[in-house]
Amino acid sequence: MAFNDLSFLFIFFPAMVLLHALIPRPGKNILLLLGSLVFFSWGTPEYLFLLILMILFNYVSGLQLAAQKQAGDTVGAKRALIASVAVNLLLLGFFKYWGFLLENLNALFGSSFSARPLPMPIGVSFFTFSILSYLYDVYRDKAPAARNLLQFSLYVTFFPKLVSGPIVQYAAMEEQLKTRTPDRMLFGSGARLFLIGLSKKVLLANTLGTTFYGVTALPMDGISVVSAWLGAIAYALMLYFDFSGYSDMAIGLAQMFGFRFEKNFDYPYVSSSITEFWRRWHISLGSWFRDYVYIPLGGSRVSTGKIIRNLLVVWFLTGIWHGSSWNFIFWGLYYGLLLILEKFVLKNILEKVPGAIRHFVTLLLVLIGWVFFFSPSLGSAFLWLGRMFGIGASGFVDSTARYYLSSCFIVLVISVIGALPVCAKMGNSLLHGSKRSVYLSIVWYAALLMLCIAGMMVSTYSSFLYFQF
Amino acid sequence: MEQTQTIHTRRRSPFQRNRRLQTVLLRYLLVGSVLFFVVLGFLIKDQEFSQTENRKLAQRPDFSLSALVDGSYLKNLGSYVADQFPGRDFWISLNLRMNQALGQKEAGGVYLGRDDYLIQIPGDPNEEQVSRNMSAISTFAQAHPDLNMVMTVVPNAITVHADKLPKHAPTRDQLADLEHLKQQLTGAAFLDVTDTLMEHKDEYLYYRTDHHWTSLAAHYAFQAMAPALNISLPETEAYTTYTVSDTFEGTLSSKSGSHSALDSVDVYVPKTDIDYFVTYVDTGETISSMYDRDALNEKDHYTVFFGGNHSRVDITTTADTERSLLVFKDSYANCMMQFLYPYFDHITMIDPRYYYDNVELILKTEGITDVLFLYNLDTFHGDTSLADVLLSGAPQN
Amino acid sequence: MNKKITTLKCLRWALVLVAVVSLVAMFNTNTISDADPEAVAAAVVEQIDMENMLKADNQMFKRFYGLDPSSFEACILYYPSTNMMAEELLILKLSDLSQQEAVRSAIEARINTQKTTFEGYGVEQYDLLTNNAVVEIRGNYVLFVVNARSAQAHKAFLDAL
Repeated sequence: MAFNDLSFLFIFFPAMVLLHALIPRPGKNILLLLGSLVFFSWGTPEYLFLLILMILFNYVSGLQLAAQKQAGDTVGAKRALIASVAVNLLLLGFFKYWGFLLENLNALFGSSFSARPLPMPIGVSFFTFSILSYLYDVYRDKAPAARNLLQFSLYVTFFPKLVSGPIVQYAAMEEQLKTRTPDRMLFGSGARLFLIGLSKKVLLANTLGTTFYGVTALPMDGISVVSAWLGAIAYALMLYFDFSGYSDMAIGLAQMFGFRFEKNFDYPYVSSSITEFWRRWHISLGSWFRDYVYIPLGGSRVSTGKIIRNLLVVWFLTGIWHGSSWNFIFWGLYYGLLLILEKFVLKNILEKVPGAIRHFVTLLLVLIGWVFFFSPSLGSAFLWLGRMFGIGASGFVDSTARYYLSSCFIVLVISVIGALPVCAKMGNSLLHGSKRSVYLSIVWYAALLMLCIAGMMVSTYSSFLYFQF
Repeated sequence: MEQTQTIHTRRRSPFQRNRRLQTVLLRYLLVGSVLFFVVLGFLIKDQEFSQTENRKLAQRPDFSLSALVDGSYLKNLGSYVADQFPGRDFWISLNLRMNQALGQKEAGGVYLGRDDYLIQIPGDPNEEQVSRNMSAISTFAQAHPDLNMVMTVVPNAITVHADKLPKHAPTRDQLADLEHLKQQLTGAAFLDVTDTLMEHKDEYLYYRTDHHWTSLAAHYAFQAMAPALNISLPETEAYTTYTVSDTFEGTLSSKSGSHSALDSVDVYVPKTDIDYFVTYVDTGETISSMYDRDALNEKDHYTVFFGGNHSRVDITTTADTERSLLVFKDSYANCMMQFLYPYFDHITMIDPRYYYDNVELILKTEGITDVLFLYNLDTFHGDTSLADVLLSGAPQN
Repeated sequence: MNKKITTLKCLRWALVLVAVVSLVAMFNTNTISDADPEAVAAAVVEQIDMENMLKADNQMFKRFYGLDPSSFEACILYYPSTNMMAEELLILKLSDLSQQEAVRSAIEARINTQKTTFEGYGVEQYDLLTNNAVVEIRGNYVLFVVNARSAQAHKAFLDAL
């Protein structure tokens, strides 16, 4: 079940909101946990038992870590941490990389292990990372081990962030699990975020999707330069609205139930360097890798050689986290190399380059990155890039390109504006006026909601892109 | 410190006041609208069938523990909510309108063409199966050199009504496809009616809301095919035409969700004394008309011809020409029979998609003299059953 | 204190053990069943209305699925007597687990063919194919059923293995 399913918005959501409002404080966590388990089961009920086992395992691990640290047994604690992390990673690896591993083994040794992997438990990449964050935070004394099993279970499974994040670190959520004061203003601002996110997803991402899927379904030899660019640009915008829309909905929902999460996207396409882009794109994942991989490896306080090694490790992992195929690994390392270049080689040069050019180059590099991201294989990614720069393309522009361009032109314009901070600024500047402008804005939100319902009614085919990760 | 803060909050700027008001109202908006539709959904009676989408709607799933555990209950609940949502048709057309306003020119695999024309986007051919079918036809033709065999594959609206397409819309080159089919065929005449249809392309040759051709188009095609079928047409071909429906909303409407046009369905009754009766072999029914009036009360008015598709339909006439025709066909042929029957004593129509029996037997028992393969290109490109039917009677190796 | 740590350690590994066992149980659905194919078919047939169904010969099977019937240990196919129905029942006993993928894609192709055949004409049949088709590949046994009571047939099939 996704937030943009009718069954979520018209069964699960109202039920949770009503019960949450009616149930007195001590019961709220129980309700949210039960709701989250139902939410999990809506997609993959067969894994409910496994999920509960993993929660128990990590709960006990946390207690053991704490006990060992208290007893002064640092070696034992470290060993316990490594063992627990390994168990979690093995499970993630089993679901995510089993097929990929066998495939490559087969290719290497000519063997024929058949792998029809089980369906992935929904959100396994995200909740595993939440759990790892917990274990490390406890080990590093950033947060005390959870004594309360209910609170810990809710941390792992909390439905707004279960499926696709944001990956909230344990230390940031720990207090809120114990005490939080849901208030109507927080609920209202959650509703605002939810409506914005839903519109991004249903109205913009899904419409851009028709163009993207239309263009990428064309036979590779019949693609003109304009079509190739259009496909890449439509994808870049679609992915942004899809994912940031989903994050907005997640954060909005969390607010409606009294939780405050940090934002996950901050207008990534205004960036004028790759470093900046990754500070603005999928922020919670970037911080996770920084806090739990990069810094533990020594961070930037080591020799240049080691920093480069650390960066490559982080970006290799970031790549493979997104999916088990060579594309994603390549994509991750591509960013690793770009960041190393920026950090060590181009640092001084970049400062002298005008902002507009830096911005343009950054967008171009990001766009090239997305080609690796959306292509089914490395080979076809290079073919697509070739088409973008005229190699093997069927001319500069053909009637197919004209067709798709004219179909999505308005949406592209709206999307580009929507991806810039100016959009929110305009919305806010309206509110400087009289009360009437507030009512007008409510009418606007209501219209968006109606259009979203209409979009949800037909978009049974367009499931959320990030679910595969 | 405390005090300054209170003073500060009391003196909010107009922006802050407005923002607070907006926040409060948005809470009511979201929760209120959701609850409104939930309550409305409970009040409105569930529908069994959607006329506009031409499909059965999901019903409230029965709750059982096993269905909950294996996940089917919640999954079915999801389809139930979507299918029985209050005003489902309204939402679908609202979505279509929004997409159109944003510049989209297709919906559900259908081009939203000019003059309210909905035009099906043809799928890619199943190459392997197409050449298998073509070689099966050739083999069949060579095994029966005494029979007059004709194959006609009709191009679709996307080709004939190309001027109704949205600007720059990508299309398949159906002319090349037909040429390709022609080259694969040996032992039978391939009769291309494209030119004939193109000559009349400004007329009403395909339904606006349906993927079928009209009786008018079939009539033009019939005239073009007559020589190949050894039919000498009378000097003045005469028909009484009846418009049996002007409220036809076809499958393309259902697919795209666009309901901006209605079609009319004409039937052509030859002015002749020749009588006929139709036998539906799968049910054993015999009826003295090929038109099914009841179909006009149903959704799909094209089924006025023979009540739709059947595995085998026999037409027996009083023409007394000593000729007997076997037709392998899809639904495009259904409106062709009204033109063909006066020229044959007997016609057997086989729809290979539903037909499992031996064809060789029909050749003998019905004394077949002529064979016609009549398909539309899009269906033929996806057909997976013709070869099997043709080869079913062939001696096994 | 140490005692507590030891208890927690034991508990932890016990949980891992349970998780592994449950995973293996889920993953290892490729169990080889020695059940008699005729008996399995009989159990399934009992659950559904077979009045208008015919037993198919090998040629019909080949035509529907494009697979060679002799490559399977057993192959039982029922199809409707009037061809305007979409009901179907197939039970296969594979001779080799490597046949699973070919069988799966053949069945999927068959469902798609049937759907295009009935789309737009046969609302009931199309509904049956969309909502009441069950494909179960369990080890060396395969069930494909299109029927209003496919869920019951599915259960009977699993029980009979």
